[in-house]
Amino acid sequence: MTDDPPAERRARVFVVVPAYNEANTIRAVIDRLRSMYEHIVVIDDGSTDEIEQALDGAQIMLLRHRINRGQGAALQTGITFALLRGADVIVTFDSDGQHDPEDIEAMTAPILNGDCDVTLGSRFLGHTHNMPLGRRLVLKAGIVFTRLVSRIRVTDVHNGIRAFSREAAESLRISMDRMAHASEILDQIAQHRWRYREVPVTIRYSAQTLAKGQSSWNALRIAAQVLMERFKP
Amino acid sequence: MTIFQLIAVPLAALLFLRSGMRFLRGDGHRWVAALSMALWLAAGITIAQPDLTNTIARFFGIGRGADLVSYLIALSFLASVVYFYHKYRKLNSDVTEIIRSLAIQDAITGTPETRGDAVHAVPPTGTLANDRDPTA
Repeated sequence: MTDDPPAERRARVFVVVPAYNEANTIRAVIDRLRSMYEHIVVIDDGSTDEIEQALDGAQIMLLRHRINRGQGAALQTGITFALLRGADVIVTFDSDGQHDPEDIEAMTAPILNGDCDVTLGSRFLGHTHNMPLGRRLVLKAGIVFTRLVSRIRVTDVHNGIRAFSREAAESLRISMDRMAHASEILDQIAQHRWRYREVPVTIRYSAQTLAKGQSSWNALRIAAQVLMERFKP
Repeated sequence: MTIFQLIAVPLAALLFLRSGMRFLRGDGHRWVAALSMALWLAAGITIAQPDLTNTIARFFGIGRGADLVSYLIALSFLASVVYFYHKYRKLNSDVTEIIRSLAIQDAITGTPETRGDAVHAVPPTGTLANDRDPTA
């Protein structure tokens, strides 16, 4: 498996990109991804902008949610579809340009080599550009919260770049439609006892990614949702 | 008996019987019907015998029956929030499943909206509905 030529290894990888009103940024992201990977699945999560026109001729697989359901829902749709199309490894990748496609190689290699089931991008092991202090503090608090609640030791949380083996993706069930899905994925890694590894990645913050991204206050809502899930009647 | 008691006690008894019928028929969750029966029974008894709440409150060291009732209402409210939150989650989850199925079905079989020329899809196997050659 490790001796496969890079092109063959990349052909086994599907990159799932959820997008909501990202017409301004998505084309550049997709073109970079497409120059490296053959299988790109974009889920237009009920966008109201010109995202379809932005992707004109982009040579991707495009799925459309007829109404907006949230990033978690879009990811599960993309993962389900990628599995139907025969993906061996599935990478989740944000559409706002904050991730670096060059990181995917390091994310997928341990899975293709059979060393682990899931890889999680970590900006704190890698690099960040223009990260606001408030965001850093909220993420650090999220790491402590995740250790206590999900019982999983990670150095980063709510980082959109992850990779799953086919077997892990088949068992993954994202039921939190909105942003709490990131905590849910960590929960499932712990529950299924998947072998996971963190991989250093680069996150670039811009005015646009910060404007579109989660507000720090949203972290409280996510924490409340995660706790409510523990009180199922 | 006061006018309020004359109205409220039979009403609580009727609602108790209604919940009892649901429990016996097995409509929905049995535990919800049982909880509902207990609620209407407690409501009927405490309305008919208001001093009883004082006795129970004193037993728990609360003092006044009215305080006991307000604590129970607060707890019931919290339980209702959790219950309806999960109902809401289930409903949302069902809607998402439908939207997901439609999205995947549209990509595979195609609808007039999804068969546009905007996007060229390259499936590893087979053909997608929106699989168009942009150069064609």
